[in-house]
Amino acid sequence: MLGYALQRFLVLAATLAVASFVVFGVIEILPGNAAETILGASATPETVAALAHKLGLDQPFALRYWHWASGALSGDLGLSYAYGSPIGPLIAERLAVSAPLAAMAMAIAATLALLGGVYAAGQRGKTGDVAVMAASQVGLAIPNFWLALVLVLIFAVHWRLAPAGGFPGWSAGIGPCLAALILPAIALGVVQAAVLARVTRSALVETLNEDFIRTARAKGLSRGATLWRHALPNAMTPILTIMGLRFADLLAGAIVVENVFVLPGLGRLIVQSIGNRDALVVEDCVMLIAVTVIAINFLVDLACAAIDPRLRTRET
Amino acid sequence: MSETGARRMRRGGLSLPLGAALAALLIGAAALSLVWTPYPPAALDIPHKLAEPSLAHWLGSDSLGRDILSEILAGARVSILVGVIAVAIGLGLGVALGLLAAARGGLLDQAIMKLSDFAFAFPALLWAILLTSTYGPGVVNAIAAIGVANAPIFARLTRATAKGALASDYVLAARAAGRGSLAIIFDHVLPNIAPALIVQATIQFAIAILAEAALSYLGLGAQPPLVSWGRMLADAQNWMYMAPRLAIFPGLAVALSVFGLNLLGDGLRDALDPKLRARR
Amino acid sequence: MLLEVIDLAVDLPTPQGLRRVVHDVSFSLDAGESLGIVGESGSGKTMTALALMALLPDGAIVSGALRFLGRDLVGLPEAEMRKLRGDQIAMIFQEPMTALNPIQRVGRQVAEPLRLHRGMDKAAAWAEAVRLLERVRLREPERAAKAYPFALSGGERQRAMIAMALACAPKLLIADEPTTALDVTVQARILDLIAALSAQSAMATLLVSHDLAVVARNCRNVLILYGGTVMESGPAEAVLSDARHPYTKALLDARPRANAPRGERLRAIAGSAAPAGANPQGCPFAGRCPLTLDACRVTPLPTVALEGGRRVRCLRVGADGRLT
Ligand SMILES: Nc1ncnc2c1ncn2[C@@H]1O[C@H](COP(=O)(O)OP(=O)(O)O)[C@@H](O)[C@H]1O
Ligand code: SF4
Ligand SMILES: [Mg+2]
Repeated sequence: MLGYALQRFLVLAATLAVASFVVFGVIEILPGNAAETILGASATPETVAALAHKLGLDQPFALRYWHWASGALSGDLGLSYAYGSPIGPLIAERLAVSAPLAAMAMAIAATLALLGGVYAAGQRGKTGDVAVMAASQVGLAIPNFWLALVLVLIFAVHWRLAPAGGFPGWSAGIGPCLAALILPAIALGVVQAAVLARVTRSALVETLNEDFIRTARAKGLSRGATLWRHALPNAMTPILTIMGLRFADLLAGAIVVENVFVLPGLGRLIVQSIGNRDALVVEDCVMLIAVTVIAINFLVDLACAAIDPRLRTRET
Repeated sequence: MSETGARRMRRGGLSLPLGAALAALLIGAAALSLVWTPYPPAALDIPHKLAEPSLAHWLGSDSLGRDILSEILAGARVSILVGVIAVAIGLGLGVALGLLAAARGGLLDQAIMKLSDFAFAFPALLWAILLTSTYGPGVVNAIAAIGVANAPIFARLTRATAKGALASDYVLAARAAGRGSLAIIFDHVLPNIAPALIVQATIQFAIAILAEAALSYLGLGAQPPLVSWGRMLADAQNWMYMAPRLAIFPGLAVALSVFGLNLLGDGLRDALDPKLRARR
Repeated sequence: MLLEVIDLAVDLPTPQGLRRVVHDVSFSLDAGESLGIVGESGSGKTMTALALMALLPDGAIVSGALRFLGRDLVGLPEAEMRKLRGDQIAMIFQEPMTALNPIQRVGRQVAEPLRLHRGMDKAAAWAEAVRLLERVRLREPERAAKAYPFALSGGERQRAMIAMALACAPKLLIADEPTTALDVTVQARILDLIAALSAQSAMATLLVSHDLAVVARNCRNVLILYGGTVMESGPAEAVLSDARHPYTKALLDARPRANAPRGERLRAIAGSAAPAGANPQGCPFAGRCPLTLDACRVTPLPTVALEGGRRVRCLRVGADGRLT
């Protein structure tokens, strides 16, 4: 297991290196451009060159990448052009909203997906299965930010049960904060649940056709016990793997949904920074999202190996 | 397992016709908007702003008096434009990379697959945010971003199917007969992977529509005067208390289009490729 | 009488509707006795076995009677059936490679019936599982208990399956082609093990096989199945040394020679095996049988009872057991 974890960790480090290169490269491949974007089309070439120099944009690409990457590794994310303050604390403050939101959304997605998928697999071919799959087909089609708008219409505008947006800050206590996060989390989670319920169902249906399921029933286990004790654990590896991959999508969706609910999270910071032409902040935020996604997938790999002994011993 | 009626219905029956009908509706709306809309989609009519649905404005008017139905019809154009080009970019890049990986094998194959693994961590929205933060918002950057994000899935699909096709007897025979690589690919490999690619393209089309709506909602996609469903939703958000219905119709348009394309993809999968069906 | 099967029929749902894959199967089994069911692939052996366990595919319909210890298993509520499975009736399957849960330790899987039916706690069940693994002569039973299935060979896995089946000392063991997937050298050892274990505990065995030699060696009685129907039955020695049914004769002729590897599939009969349920009114062997008459296809098969408890079902076999 330890060898496996180490090997996955090396992959993780390599992936991070590639990710940082891509994120930095996409933005910085044209050196003058960032300064031009900041100053707008009306700026003279001289002022653009001056700003480019000030921002260090006239240095070679490799050098700039090295400054950025080594700075990030030592916790220095650089200065925000628009806010004039270090980016690290700026992001940390926003994470206090975004991290709990993502966690709540994923929890909602996983719960709904497992319940729906397990139920559909247990009923496979019957009406219950068709109903769950039809519902998930609908869920797949709904844009999460539109679901967010509709939830606001229903719960905030019509019934006045929840705030329509904004965030009171954790100093206001846990209750109001969770109340502010619940609708966005539902909007994000429901859509992911639709995808994951389908994955759960198909992984389970495949597992239920395996020979060892018949063995379990031949021992005298009930259908339910067979499903929970033998089928689900075996189906968990593909389910977890897809959950890990979908996490990227969930975080991207959070950028939009945070804007619907005017939540002061990472997503709003990103969109505001694009408006402010604050490329470094966007870069750092996107990199943080990439790091999170890659780290989550690393954890998923470890969890899968903990479940399936065959993964631990397989070479390479 | 027993093949009950319900299952048979879900399998083949309804998806294909319903999906095709909704997709036709989407294309029809876009086509119609080219020749006719009840009002010019961008025409302001401040005195009649926020009108309730009526005979004059079937779906009402928005905060600047624009006719919602006209905007929805015109919005279909942007959705289709983005979907078609982004899928074409994804297909072109992905199929090329996938074929390269399958044909060359070895290190190049591994590198391409690792890269596509990695790209799964970057949904279209993140690419778009990266691009627009340097090169500015706009529908072109949105299309480019969504297109790039589409490439990995096509690359994987192509590689998986092409590997099998390249190893098959008829390809070996063609090679022995002295046919060139490109000719073999066009004659034997592409026809084999076409069904799977068509199915995936339909589904990626749906995903592209979703991504475009999100980007335009954030103000990073289509810019005025282009009409886009995402932009309509962004506008609607300002009038949630006064005219909540503004937020309904554009969202329904997105959802119905995506729903239809997903169903079409599922239906095509069943119709085109019995192997894929068995694997589901 | 431990088990009495009377006119068992199984209908399976297919996209074209119900299909009868087992019909008119009758036999009985005493405590400690062994019965072999022989037939080509697709003849309905597995479905017969699964009917006894009430583990047929969803939507299957069973008719006839399955009397186990005087109780009819047909229509028995699932909750009652569950108490029998793994406790009174146990089953081992053809594919040891896939019949074990790949992500659970072997010991836990062997212990599971004990926890379920005997209410043992984890530690006691594990200790008993190790003892069981020793009883099926697995080397280093403690290590085997801790191992995951992928670390064991096919033969070792099948031994673990047998240990699992024996856990609750069942009265009836159903073994569905337990050695088909194994190396020839391992086959004999596994079959000897099953024979020895059933002798030790007066456990009846139902040994399903497509291999006549296996059944001849291990079973007292034999049932020859073709197209879902019993063709001939009786004491194994008598049936195999003096076959009366055209199908049994064909099977014996098609048998690999003495020095050919055992377990070879019975493909050598001319023509391909009829799907179960072919010729629903008449004889399923009709057409492929060299003695076929027109009447064979449409006349319900008679059952001719011969001396020594033998039965033959063929239109052309007379009451004296001779061909007419
Ligand atoms: N799930 C199923 N649905 C319908 N028919 C089946 C199913 N499984 C097996 N059959 C058919 O039932 C017949 C008997 O199968 P089986 O009992 O498995 O044969 P055997 O074990 O003797 O090889 C075969 O003709 C087979 O095609
Ligand atoms: S009934 Fe007819 S077809 Fe069947 S085995 Fe006897 S002779 Fe052959
Ligand atoms: Mg069988």
